Amino acid sequence: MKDNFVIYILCPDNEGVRKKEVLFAELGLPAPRVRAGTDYYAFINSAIAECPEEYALLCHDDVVVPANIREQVACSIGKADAEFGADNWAFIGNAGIDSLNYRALRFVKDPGEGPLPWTNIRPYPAVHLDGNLLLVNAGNCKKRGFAMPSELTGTYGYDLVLVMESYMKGLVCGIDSALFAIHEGIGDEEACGNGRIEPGLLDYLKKRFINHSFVTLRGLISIDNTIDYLIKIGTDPRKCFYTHWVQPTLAGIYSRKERKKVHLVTVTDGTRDERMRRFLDSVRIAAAIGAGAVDIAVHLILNREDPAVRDRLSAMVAEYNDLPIRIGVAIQQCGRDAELVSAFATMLQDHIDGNECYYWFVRRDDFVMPSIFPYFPQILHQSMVTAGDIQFFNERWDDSGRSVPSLVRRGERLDSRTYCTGLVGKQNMPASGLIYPVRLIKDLLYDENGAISQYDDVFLMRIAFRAAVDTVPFVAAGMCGNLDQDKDDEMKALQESFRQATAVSRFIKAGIMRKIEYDYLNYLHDDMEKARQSIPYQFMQALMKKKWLYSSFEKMKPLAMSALRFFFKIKDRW
Amino acid sequence: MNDRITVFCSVSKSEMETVESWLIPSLMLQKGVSGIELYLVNYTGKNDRLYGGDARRGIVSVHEINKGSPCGFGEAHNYAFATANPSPCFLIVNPDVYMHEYAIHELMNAMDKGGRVAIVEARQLPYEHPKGYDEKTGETPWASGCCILVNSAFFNEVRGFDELFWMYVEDVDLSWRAWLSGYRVLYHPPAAVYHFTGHYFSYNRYRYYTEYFWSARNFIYIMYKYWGRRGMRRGIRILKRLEYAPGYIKEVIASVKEVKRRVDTRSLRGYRRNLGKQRDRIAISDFNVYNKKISNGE
Repeated sequence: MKDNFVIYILCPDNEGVRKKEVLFAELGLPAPRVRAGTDYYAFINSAIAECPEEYALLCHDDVVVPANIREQVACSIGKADAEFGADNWAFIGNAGIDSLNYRALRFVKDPGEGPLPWTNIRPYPAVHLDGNLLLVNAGNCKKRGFAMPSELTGTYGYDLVLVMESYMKGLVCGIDSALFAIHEGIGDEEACGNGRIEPGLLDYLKKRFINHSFVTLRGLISIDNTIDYLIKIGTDPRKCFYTHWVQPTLAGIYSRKERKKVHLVTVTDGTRDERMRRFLDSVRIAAAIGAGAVDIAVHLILNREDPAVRDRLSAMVAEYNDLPIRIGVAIQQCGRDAELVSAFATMLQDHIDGNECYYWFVRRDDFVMPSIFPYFPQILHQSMVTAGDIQFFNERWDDSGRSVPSLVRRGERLDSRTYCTGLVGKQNMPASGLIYPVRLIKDLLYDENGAISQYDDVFLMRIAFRAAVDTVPFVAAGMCGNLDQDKDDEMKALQESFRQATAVSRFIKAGIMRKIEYDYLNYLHDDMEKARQSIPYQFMQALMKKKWLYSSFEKMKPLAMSALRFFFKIKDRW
Repeated sequence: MNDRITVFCSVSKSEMETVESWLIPSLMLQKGVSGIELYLVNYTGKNDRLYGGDARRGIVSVHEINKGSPCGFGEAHNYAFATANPSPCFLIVNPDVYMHEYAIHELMNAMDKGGRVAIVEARQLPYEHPKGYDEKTGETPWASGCCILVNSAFFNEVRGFDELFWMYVEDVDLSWRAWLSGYRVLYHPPAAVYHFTGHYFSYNRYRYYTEYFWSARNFIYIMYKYWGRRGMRRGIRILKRLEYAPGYIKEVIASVKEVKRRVDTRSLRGYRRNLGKQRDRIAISDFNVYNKKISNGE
């Protein structure tokens, strides 16, 4: 277990230093090295330079660390080493902005915050870290010559700068729940709230980067940057922080990991050959784009046993001899609903590629989006299902036999973050948007009787409830509908209700969720929705965004509650 | 089967990966074409050799040419045209496209059957370029230069692209000059190319791209070119309403003023005089109301 680290804390004054030392001793925590001062840039440099161990833990003076900090740090080091490689990371924090989605991830409890956060299985690469608690790989920093710039001082912006300097040295920064802590202070609210940018930091950013904005936990830092790079192409030495430093560093790290294999599976009944060709074209393009990223295999499951159809399919496949394509026959022929699971069952029966590969089931008529393939080394993980966005298209096909529709109308884009709403009775997971690690879903395939699930809906509902699902902001597949289909909304709604009822009832029978829990969650859902729309709730949400206002409100709450009860007729206490 | 076709593609080192993994393999699979002469135009002007593969790949013969100085999109293709002298037509294609197997065949059919056609544009998939066109005739006000088949006689007649654009919007200008010269511009959906453009797939939202700057700058330039100073002022007013940083807008306007100094205004009189005849086609998409006001003297 790697737990050879030293805790460093910066306190504003010597009194704070003494108090911290006493506190850590009383709580039986590892003895920290506490320094007095207000310059975080110099503090980080000196901590890294003098650290006698491989790792350091930099801690704000208003952070409460857990008693088992040794185990948590060791856990975090292990996760970072496994994810990024032991020589490739510099800083791990408990809150920040992740590099793929640019979303805020927080595994820290700040003042005024309520529920505890979820935990992550692996650290997320970050483009910004909150400085409240930082695990530093001092060894890597020293080897790569990492240093905070000497021209910057103070406590503002250091958490963004350290991430930038890390990537410029080829080192990754990450966010990990193992470093959970309680942060009792609220930071420099005046600086952050006013969006003030110190001149030193502004100069630093403008000299190195072409970006007009930088995303941080406190919002966007926007600057009026020069745009010589657009006019005098090739002469501006500055680069984009995200596309020149972050993405290539991550791509380099993930490309050196063990190569992943993705099996693409689709089902056909031998009709609509042109759509099958379109799917194969998309795989061919994906193989060209992602050739350096993953290995691809393609499986076509023929949903009926017809030699003539099989021969025609084989002739089509022969035209794609640059792709490794296998044709199989489904063992269940239960109509459209059984496509997904019967395809997977066929794979299990005939051919399963070990325990380390991934399977992607693409509904008939759909196609994959090649642009997601270069990201596979980073986004596919054996412990999680990967869910990508879906782009809907409404199409019209003519009789030309060509593998492109004669007319296409782009529909909505379905955000993968909306998929996993199974807990409130809504299953919204499009089959073509999910990529499964094979070992994770082998168990999910079979129902309570040990038989293969009959319905794709039940299969997907099991995924929603049982598996960890990681969402990515890329379009995984195009899902295609018929432009000319009669839009009978009532029939469509009825069919959806029927499918949902069937899925959920089988679900309940399988013991995945007890009826009482399902009823309760539905009941809660309606109440929760009502509460979310209520004025008091929205008022509180707006209030909590301004932390200084919220703390004043808390003090005035007894008086405020009376006023709110009188004006808004609230019966229950918040 | 159609005869051989000449293809021009303007590239730099950073684009060669997509040329070698998408474009050339898709050209090799083209049906209905007996041979393809692919000219890779090195627009950086640097002496480095960009293409390191075989000169002959299936039906594709690959040539690399270099003007010797940095050049924009229009200048690069004018140079390629002068070098290769293609006839009766040639294809312009982006380096990051994958052509459907019947794309060239369909484009050439449309050119042959259309009657005095200057440009035929292919459809981009999966995201079609948003634009209007007549579904029966295929006529469109302008063709996107991502993948277009160009009539060589027409190109010669109008002296190619306007090199003052440098990059972006010169395809609109070429299309408008086609209409003003009595030719037609067609959009032909059966000819499809897959284009995974950075605009939809990989552009980072926290920086500007050359596409934005040059599109903005050339939008104002084209407004000036066809509608004079009044058009230019309109364009600047529209630009200022967009949410760019003040420094960005200042650079765009400075660049427009610089190009305006280099324009031969006498050559523009012909376009401006004949605009009325093509009122339905020569209009700023999404800003038609401005065009109408300008034409009415408002």
